Amino acid sequence: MQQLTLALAKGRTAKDSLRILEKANIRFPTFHPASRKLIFEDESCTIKMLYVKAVDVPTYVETGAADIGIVGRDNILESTADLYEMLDLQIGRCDFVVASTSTKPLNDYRSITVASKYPKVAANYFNDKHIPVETITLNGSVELAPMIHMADMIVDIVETGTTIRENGLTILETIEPISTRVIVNKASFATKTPLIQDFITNVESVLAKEGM
Amino acid sequence: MQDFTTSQAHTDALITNYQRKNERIKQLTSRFSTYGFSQISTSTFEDYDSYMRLQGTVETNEMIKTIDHTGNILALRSDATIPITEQLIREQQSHMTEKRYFYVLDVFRYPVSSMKPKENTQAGIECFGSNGIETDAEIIALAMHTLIDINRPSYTLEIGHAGFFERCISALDLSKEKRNTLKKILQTKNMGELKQFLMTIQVADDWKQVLELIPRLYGEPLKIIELVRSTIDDPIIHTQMDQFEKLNELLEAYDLASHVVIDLSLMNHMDYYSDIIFQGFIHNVGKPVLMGGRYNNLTAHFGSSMPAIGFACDVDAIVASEHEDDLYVHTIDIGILQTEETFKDSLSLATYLRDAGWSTRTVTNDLPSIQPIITCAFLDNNETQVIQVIYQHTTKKCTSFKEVASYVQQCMQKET
Repeated sequence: MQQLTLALAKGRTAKDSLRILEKANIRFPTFHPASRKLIFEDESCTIKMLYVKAVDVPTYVETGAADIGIVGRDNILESTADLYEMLDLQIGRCDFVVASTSTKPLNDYRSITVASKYPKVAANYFNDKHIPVETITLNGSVELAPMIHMADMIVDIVETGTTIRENGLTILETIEPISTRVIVNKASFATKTPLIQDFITNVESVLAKEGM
Repeated sequence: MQDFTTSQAHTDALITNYQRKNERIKQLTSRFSTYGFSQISTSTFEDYDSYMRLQGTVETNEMIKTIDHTGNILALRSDATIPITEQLIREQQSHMTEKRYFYVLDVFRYPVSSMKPKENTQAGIECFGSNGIETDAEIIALAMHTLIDINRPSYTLEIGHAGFFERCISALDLSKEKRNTLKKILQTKNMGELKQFLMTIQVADDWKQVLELIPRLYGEPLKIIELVRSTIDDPIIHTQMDQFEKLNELLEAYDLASHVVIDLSLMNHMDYYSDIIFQGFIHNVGKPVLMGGRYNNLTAHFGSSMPAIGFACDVDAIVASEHEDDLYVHTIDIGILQTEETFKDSLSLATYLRDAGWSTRTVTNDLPSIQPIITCAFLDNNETQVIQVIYQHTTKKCTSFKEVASYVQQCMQKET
């Protein structure tokens, strides 16, 4: 029997994602967020779940190690992986923004140094605006960079903007909205079409019922 | 002496990988030959400027460049189809009949995502000079035959049409950026984003319906064809659907239709494709292992007009997904045990068997290390020469080289 492998992003959206899957009758009885196990099987043994870091989900799916992934669009954009992005779960909503300690508009800069966990997204955004950009990759506490003049501004995801404001930063521009998506490997879609289509329509109908 | 550090070598460099790759290439090329294709090659160094003139093919920043002694820029071969087409047009006689070629060539690129140059072996075919749907079907049949040869539990061939998307947006006045955004949305089957995008542009209702449908236009050919026909009344789109229908009929005659799906969101990043395009997937490989299509417009760039269709297999992707024991790796057929007295005789026997086509080694003592399928040894016998041939615990005594060779032949037939 063919099995589907699903890569689920750890972190802030994992609980909500699992709730949606549960409504679609996909349950992982042995799963517990604190468990040290990395692989879980669902009740019917048709889906194997890999519980992995969000930033790695697109990699698992692009290489075909997982057929399907559930992960934020921020990580999908940063990975530039060649995938199908088939569903928007409408959870984990936030925005990709440009923020700085200064309120000077972007167009007044001759060149910009930007710190971000998402260097590719940042570079693409400023390149499209034809502003020369230098990126600094950080893995956390990005807000610090403009405060200590390591960078002019940051590109990051914000939910409410509280952290940004508390650190004296202002949102200059919103790049685009982010939410949790279902991604699919293109080869898996071709070789396991019925399984994947069933999974998608199943989850889709849950979303429809919830009015999303 | 300089210290050698272990570098992260290309996986190709591993000996066992190379042998498996070679077996795979042999299998692919012999399949291509069975459809009447013959092998050609092109130069590794190419004129960079001629690529510059061909927009919408290989990104020039992905090419690996070098400079010759006059200061001209050369590029390492970054695609096979373009130089083959150029070569064909340059050498063609006034009257052209159909030409069928296959190649096994390395292509070299700097992928945008990594700083390391990448060399990739492609094995593919090009068929010039015929334009019928029958040729399309035959080439697709060969593509599927190639996938079947790889022998995995499942395989699928997706067929699309390069002209479908073009026709759908022909009535829209899209900027280059918007066009690329739409292309990207369709290629990722991103329905949510597609809906939002379509709200931002001016588009007639019937075309909007088709565009909105594209991510779902994937599946069993006849269903998709009907769905498109009933959604839009456009002569060009209907001609494309007629082509698909005829193609499906022909593939049914080849007994191959059950592994074919239509995917109308399929697009190739090479702009030279003009009609039918396709890609093949096999179980356990996360990307297409075969890509191709009809490219009737490429020849025009080189000053002549000629229909053409072809495809290429990503040999490295296939080999990388194989387990070590998936493929038979050539071993030694015959080992001849050599002693001081039989030294000359065993060398003569080795030459005789090699001429007959068997891989043969002579060894003095270390027979087990080469693991031959058949072992030969000369017996000490004063009058006549006796050669003992051992195959699977049975021993046969032969009195002439000819007899040995015919027994070897028998044994090896059992092996295969």
